[in-house]
Amino acid sequence: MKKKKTATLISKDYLTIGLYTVVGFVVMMVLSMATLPFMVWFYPYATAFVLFFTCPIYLLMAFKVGKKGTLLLFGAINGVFYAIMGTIYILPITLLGGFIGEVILAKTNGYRKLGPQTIAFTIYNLLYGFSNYIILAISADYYFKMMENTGYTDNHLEYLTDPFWIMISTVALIAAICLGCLFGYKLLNKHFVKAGVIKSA
Amino acid sequence: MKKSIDPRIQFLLLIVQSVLVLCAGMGQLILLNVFALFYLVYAGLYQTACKMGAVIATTVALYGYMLLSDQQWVKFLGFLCFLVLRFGPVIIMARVLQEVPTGRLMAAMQSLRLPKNFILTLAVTLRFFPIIKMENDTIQMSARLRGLSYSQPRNWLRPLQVFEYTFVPLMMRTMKIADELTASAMTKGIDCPDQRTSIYQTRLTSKDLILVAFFIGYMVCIFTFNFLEV
Repeated sequence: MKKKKTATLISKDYLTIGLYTVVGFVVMMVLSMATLPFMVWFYPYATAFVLFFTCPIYLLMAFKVGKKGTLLLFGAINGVFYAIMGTIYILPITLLGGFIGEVILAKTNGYRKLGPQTIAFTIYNLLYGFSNYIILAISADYYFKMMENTGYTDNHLEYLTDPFWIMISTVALIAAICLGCLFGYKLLNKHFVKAGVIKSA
Repeated sequence: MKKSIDPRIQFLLLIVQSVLVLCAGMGQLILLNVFALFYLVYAGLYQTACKMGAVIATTVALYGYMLLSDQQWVKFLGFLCFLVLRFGPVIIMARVLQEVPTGRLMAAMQSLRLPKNFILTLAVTLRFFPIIKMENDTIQMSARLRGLSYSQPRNWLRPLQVFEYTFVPLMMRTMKIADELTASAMTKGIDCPDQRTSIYQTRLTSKDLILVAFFIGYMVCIFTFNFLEV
């Protein structure tokens, strides 16, 4: 029998990451649908609001697996879902975000620490939550053409291009992720560590 | 009798479809949806085809109404219509892919020489979408009995707690399912480094090739002659 603990991902970890990513994705989709009717007023905060609720899921997954490559795989699977759903440009962004996050985690060796995980996840989400802005910066014509189709350009455009609103949504996003991670960490300690399913953080 | 389309072909169609959806205009989106419906019928999922057909017909009708009127709130409905029409073809195609038995899917993916762990993750995640809904329904049922469900308006004032009451059981179930799946995969020798054998034969039949040819022909037609000027 080989020793049980390895530093690389094994089949079990792949399954765990896969399943939690799906849960996170579904939660995200459901909440996005729920915020859709309020988008006209709510746009700068919508991303932050939705991503707040994915933090506990990610934290649980990261603490459960606690190995190199979790965030990268999480990003890759999310990106593949988006690619299948028809927005293939998100895939490289999530991969990049996951990679940067992994570098931070590897540098600090903080796979089971709240601080480094929060920083890594914030950076991942900054890239991912602002994929719209990144696409807008890279190819504005294409983006506007895509938005023209929808007849949904009035307030939306102001939110996307005005530096004031971009600042607001960035701050909101960072605050939401940090609060979300704290909330998730509390939940972990309250339920999962007590139940013994994950090791104490 | 369900006809089985080769999973590799399904993936190919799914990916091409999703790229096409990205660059299609409104008229082309409607035609893409029509193709997806025929694809459902071809795969033998008649019930789903009827349901999705009704949804898409309603959406198109709504969109037509929206074009005629010029009120602001109706314009907003246009955005919803666009979303439905845009994700419709992709979701339908993914629905057909979900019907493929896991063993067959893995055998087909293996012949593409993808890494085994990636195949495993993908095969499992595709299956997991409907299961989440089922689990959530069960959790909400017992939460409602205790007056803690998010579907009860009096709980909307404390969203964090409601989220916790849904999140913790769901996570626990997910963890259990992951453990069970791992055990089941281990007993089937997923960790064995050798090539995995399968009872399913993966061979492209002439039917699959005809389907692909038809798909390509249809897409070329849609994008060269803009049939529906919407």
